Amino acid sequence: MSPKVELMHVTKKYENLVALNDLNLTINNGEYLILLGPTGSGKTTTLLIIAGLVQPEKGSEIYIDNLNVNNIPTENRNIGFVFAQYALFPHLDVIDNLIYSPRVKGESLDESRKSAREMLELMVLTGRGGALPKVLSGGMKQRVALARTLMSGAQLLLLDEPLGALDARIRMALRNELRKIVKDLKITAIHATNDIIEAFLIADRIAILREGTLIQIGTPAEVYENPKSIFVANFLSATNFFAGNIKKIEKNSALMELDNGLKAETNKTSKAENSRIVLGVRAEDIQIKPKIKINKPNYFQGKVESSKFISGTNRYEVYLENKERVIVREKATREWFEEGEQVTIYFHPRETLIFDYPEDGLEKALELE
Amino acid sequence: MPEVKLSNISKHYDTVIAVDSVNLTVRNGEYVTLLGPSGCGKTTTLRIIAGLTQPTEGEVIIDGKDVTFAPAGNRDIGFVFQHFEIFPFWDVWDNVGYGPKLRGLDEIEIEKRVWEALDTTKLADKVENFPDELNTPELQRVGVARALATGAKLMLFDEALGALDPKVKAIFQHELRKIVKKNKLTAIHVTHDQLEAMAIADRIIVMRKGRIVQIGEPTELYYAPNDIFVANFLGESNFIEGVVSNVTETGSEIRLRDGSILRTDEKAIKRGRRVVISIRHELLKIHSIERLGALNFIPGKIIGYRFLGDRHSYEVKLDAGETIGVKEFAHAPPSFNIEDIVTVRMDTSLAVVFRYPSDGLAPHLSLE
Repeated sequence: MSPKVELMHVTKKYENLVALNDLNLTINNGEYLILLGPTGSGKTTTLLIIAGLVQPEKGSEIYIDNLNVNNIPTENRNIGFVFAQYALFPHLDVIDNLIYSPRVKGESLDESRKSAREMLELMVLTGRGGALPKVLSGGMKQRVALARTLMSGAQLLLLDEPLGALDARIRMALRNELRKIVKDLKITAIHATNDIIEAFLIADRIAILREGTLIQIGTPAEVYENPKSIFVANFLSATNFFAGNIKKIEKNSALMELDNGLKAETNKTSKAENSRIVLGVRAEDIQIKPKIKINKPNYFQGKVESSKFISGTNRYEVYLENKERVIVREKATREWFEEGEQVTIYFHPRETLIFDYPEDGLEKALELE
Repeated sequence: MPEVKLSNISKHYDTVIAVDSVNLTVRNGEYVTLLGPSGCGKTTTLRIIAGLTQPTEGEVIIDGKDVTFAPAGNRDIGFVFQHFEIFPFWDVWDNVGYGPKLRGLDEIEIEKRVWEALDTTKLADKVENFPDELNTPELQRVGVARALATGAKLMLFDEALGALDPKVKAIFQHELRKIVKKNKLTAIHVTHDQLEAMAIADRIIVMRKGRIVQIGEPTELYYAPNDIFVANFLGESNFIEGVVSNVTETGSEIRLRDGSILRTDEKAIKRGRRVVISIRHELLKIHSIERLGALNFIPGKIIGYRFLGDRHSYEVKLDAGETIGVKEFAHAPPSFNIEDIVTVRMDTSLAVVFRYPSDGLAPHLSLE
């Protein structure tokens, strides 16, 4: 049975720097958890602590299957790792690297070779079985290391940017496979990445870290639909933010006056009249139309400053009359707006996100590093 | 705003052909990317343009002048590296001022250029910082500022955004394009990341195994790839096998392996030929099985689903045999579940029909 992992009050300091701040997190049996966050958010430190390779501060507790492992050395925790720096046996060819663990565990040569070949195919490494690690590119070595760990029989996998060194296109192909393999093997996996799409594609739940603190955890749909902070909203999907005040509360919405002078109708909110808030609208929730004369909330006039086709979507930067910039992303259509065109943008009140105005200001709330 | 022309450029290393007869014109003020997998020859091509690598054959012409044998220092090029190559013991000001100083400009001109470059790259408040006080995105900006300050009108970027977090990268891509356009520069940018290539470039040059496979605007490569490799490398495509069962004046009918018929606009391929239809994930839509029988509704079963934020991503096993991806832009919860028997509507107006390759599909779908 694949283990459950619990972290309780886990803190780690490096001199003055708090790398992890009172992390509380449970990873269920057979769950695939993604630790998502920018560089320096504490993802790798979390993995190293679970592995027993870094000692947390006093008071931190780590349980694997209800057993406190604080004092159990790494080699007795039955963990498979893939770290960004891959370590392969240099004198063994790829196949022999892969079958090392299965053979130690008594699997037959034929059987283990067969599964190794299947694994190589999944890892886009067909035909490389006889190669020694030194002749492989960095990306290939990383895939061999990943394959070897998947074949190791470990019931708990820790993956630190396992696809990080790969060409973008191979990375795309592998992220789909990785989830499938882990799920087929029914193992518990904890995987750190800074790539949002990777997190959405792979995770059962996503834990979002920022500056050593767990700021939100949930299924991909939960964190996307209900971001609890400005940072999470923007990190998961390019979002436009407008500061302003609530003028009037209606039954299913609120009317807002933005600092830029425009009016907006928002989603239903529990905030009081006159509260100072930030309205968030995701780039993909904004519609863009040829300029129409209209004076209603949520219709803003502007000019297209940049227009770019990116992989089946059109991405626009629209400058409103006050020079505020709004990002709009829509499914690509045969017709698109060119740079310089006058447009009207619109968003539905239902597709707005409402946040308290941050004490330290909006810019600080959005900082990525 | 220089024009760059490569005429029949090749580079051989012992037995390896890194670049194989490349012909290419980059226009004045154009932003192009060289895109391809590791080892496709894109970086070698860039280094040949920069003068950092000598071609085995061919000519490099910049602004009408043959510079094939001109040293790198005489080519008036700004080069931005993946690993920045910033002088660690100099502050930002000195790093950015290095290029203009080397060119022997007077103090006033140097100061003007450095400030302009720092303003453009939003580093004006970091002039006195040393590299070890800066984070990765800031270091990257110093790399760009330094290239801008040289005053060169031709910029070469070698995986210059490769070290950035994806989120930071996505923002900086658009900024970099704006900087290049606003300063009326010609830019050649090497990347293996197709999304970056589309976000940044006017035209993309797709390379594989030392050769150019296709050159075109992002929409052109995306909707009209001339090669199965290009269709697979850019964006996400499904490849469905079939046989041309009928050709009419307006298009052709293709019979899939389960007998389903797809009508396409393709007219050039003869009846009876084996073909592969390449169709993008987002050109497909899932409908209930009741629609079976309507034009271009193909039966299958949903075997996978992922929520991707702005998109629903389904995996469907077609009765025809292929497992395909369907991406629908999401403004509502998903309408179908795993195990549902469904039909997939294929908008074939933007599909591309290729002849089935004589050596099979696999070598063409390989990502190397």
